[in-house]
Amino acid sequence: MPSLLFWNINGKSQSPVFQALAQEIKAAPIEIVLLAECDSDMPAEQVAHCLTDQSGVTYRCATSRPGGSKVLVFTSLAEEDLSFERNSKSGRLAVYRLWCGNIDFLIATVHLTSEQHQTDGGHNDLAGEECREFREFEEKYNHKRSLVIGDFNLDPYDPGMTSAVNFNAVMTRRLADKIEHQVSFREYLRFYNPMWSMFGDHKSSKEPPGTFYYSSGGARGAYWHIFDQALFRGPALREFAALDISILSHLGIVSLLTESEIPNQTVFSDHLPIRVRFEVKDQDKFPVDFLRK
Amino acid sequence: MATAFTDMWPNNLWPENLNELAFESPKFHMLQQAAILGERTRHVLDGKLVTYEEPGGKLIRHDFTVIAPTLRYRFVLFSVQHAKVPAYPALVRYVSAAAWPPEVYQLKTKDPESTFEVKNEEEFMRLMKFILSNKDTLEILQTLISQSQEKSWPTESNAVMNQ
Repeated sequence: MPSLLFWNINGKSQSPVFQALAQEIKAAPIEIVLLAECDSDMPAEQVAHCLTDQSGVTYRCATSRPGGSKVLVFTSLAEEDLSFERNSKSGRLAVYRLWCGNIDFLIATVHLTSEQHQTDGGHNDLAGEECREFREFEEKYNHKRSLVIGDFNLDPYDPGMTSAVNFNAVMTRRLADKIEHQVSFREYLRFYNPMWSMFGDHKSSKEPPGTFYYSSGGARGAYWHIFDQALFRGPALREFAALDISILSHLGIVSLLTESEIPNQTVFSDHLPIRVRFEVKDQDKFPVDFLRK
Repeated sequence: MATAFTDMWPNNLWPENLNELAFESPKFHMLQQAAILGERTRHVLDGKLVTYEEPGGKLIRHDFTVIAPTLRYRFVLFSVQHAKVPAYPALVRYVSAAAWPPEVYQLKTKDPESTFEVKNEEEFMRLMKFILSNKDTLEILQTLISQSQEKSWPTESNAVMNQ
């Protein structure tokens, strides 16, 4: 079951972050660790070394030009199983190819621009630009077994996520499975966004109510946001025997929260990590043949 | 008082052309052809190199694997085995019923598993060209492409529209 962990570490490339990640890796293997806002003074190789050193599992940096991508990807998988393919023009989206047995998936990592840097909803429009480039990548690879994971700097309900011309990410598998959304005679492929169901505290588990906490002090404010999300295309979901997504309040036994149960940004980050685990159907049932006559 | 040490290392004695490669390894050429297979078939088929270290650690083997993701099928088209150093000569294993042209036949070893020995990059390229354009190879690739297209997922043109 491949396991991915995404975390915006808010420039905190210090030992508590890696110690906590190592705890989680020791508790349950994580084949792909995706980190946004890594300290720019710390080379990617050094991050890989830290992860390896602390966890005892050998990691390599899979991002080919670490300076060009906003999210760095570290993996314990071989190069032939996870390869960097390309960056979008802005570097805010990068595409990787993951092989699970005889089938491949496209994994896009994102770290989109925040509302603070764009006025009048410009960050929603820019999300659409990244998504348009991703659709071009999908066309090139000629399939839609895709997932997108990262810090979108948008909530699942923001237009950048829901609009047909943007990520077109809907809240149910059933809607996502309808393949397309037709608007003004144009067809737009959908994503399934499971993060919709992770808001608030109605869940039976003790998962946090979001991935990012912000109190503006003004009249409006949702307090908890889910900027860190994972989206799935229908054709990818159809290949999964199981899918599990969670927002992590702990890594191993290390709590990432303060006593007030909000992200402990003094020690760790203002974002909480998300973990995606999926199992590919019948992965072991397809042997390798040799060409014989 | 501290003793001053003299740097006894000689100046750079490495030749200027250290990074100028005289030849490319089999892996380099195989990776290139694997990528081209994906591009040429629009990823209906993909080429992938799977590398193993043989027991003992001195030899490595590269399997040139063709994958049809839609069919969830893969097979090894040919394998190359060589020492870590040097990369040539290399042994290439490719099974086919095709008649070997003389320039390929001369590389064939007595191994019943259709193994060829290439002494250098030029011989390797000649043999790989033969393998990739061989009738048997094309037949199986075309069969896989055809079956993959039959089984491909719904696209914009045949999609189920939303309610």
